[in-house]
Amino acid sequence: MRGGAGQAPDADIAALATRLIMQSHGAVVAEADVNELERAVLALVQATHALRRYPLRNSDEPMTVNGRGPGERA
Amino acid sequence: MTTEPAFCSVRELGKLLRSGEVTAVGLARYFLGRLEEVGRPLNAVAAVTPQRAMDEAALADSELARGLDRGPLHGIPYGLKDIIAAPGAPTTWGAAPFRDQVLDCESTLGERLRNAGAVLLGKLATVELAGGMGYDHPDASLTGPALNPWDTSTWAGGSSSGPAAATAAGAVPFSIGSDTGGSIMMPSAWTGITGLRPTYGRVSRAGAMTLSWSLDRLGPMCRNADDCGLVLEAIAGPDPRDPSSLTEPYRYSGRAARRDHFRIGVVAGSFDGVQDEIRANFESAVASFAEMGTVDEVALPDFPYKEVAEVIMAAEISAAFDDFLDSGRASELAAGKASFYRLAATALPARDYIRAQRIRRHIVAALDELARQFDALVAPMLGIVATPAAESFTGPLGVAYPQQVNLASVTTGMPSVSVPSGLGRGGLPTAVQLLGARLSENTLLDAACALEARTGWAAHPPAFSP
Repeated sequence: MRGGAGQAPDADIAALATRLIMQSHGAVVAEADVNELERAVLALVQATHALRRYPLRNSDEPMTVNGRGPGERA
Repeated sequence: MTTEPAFCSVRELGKLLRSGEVTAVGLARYFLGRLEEVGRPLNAVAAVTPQRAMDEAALADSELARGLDRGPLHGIPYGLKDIIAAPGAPTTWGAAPFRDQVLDCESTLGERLRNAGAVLLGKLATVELAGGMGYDHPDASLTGPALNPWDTSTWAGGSSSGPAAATAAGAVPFSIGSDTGGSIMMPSAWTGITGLRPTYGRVSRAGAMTLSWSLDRLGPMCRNADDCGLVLEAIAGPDPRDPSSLTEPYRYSGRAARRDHFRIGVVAGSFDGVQDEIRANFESAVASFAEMGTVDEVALPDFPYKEVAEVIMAAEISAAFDDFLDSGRASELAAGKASFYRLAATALPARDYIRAQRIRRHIVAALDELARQFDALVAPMLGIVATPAAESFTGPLGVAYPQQVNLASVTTGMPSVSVPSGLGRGGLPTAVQLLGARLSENTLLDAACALEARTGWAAHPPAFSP
């Protein structure tokens, strides 16, 4: 789900991702709501796109799920 | 009962109790009545626990009579946001699919408040699933839209709607809310109370609904900053039931509080586009701080705060509720289609979530360096006053909320406090937010107390009658 340089426009990526979600979750999304789901996917695609603009080094570690980094004591 | 306790602070109620002017049983009975008469019309009440309240109050009276004093909260009634479990009471998470849910366990926070002698009155309303599935209308709650006691045609805010409305209306002396993206801070600001979002990990979340493991926090919503400190002291501390809880101890009472010489950083640009009255009240608060210390303008480091928060929430909330989303029961929510924003995260690559968490580490480092140069960074809490309870808020909140300063606290886990700053458009409350370095709650609360003493707004009750 990314619209970075050299990749497809965000809207195309959102449409593709929506089709994938409908394949796995079609039972819980009515056909009439697909456009709404696609808007939600597009918003997330655009958010991830914005994150790509922030430069990171290979060694930059993530915070962990409990808000700390690896090796840090909870 | 000769003194009207509805708008007394925790300290004032404690004095009344210890002077014998009131009893804990009398207070419990009085506030149970206030919850019914004032809280229910505001849609602030999820469930009351009268038997537990009377049992705990009777025990408090008995202990105080024989000289066993558990501290400032002994005999003081309170309410819990209905995402926090309590034995014998339903825990609906504010959501229709969970309307019959009973979690027969005590939260760590509830245990600590009981050990401090506090008296649980009941559960207070929340936006469904603490707003985690997304919502764009105040009625996205099992109890309906929580009304603002300053003007009942307006919303109390969310997702800690019931704690805010009930505390502001004098239906409980204090309450406990939860905050993932602003759910303590925003309703506190709109209802004119003081809300504290403590440092991430200060307060155990065991027994509370999980929304986002790396963002969720519990904290006090009170009449003033001093009460927030008293409550935080009772509920903070390490807990083996919550692996994220911090080991650092927290003490509020019994220390010399500061009331001046504060170093304040005013976040540049944070009041661009806010309502005129909010800006004026904020500038008045800054002027008060200038009389008590130093004030400098600072620039918030440039980061994609909103996108980092959005991606982390999307991934963690959809993971926490994956079975629920797969079941299709999200369609039973009042804002059922809003859950598509969480379903969308099923197509979110793991590396994007990890990228957000990598950027977040940079945010934490930069904000920590900045915050340590000041006692508090300050900004208006919200750009607008409370919106109509009957209308969607997508437009106005999308423009003015959440702001960068709030999201800086959300993503870094740094503590912040929302303090009343006056009245704005329509006579509705406005607020200033104070953001501090990790574990700096006492400094923040001291600054908040000093501001409250100057402005007097924290003691200003709404003109609401049911």
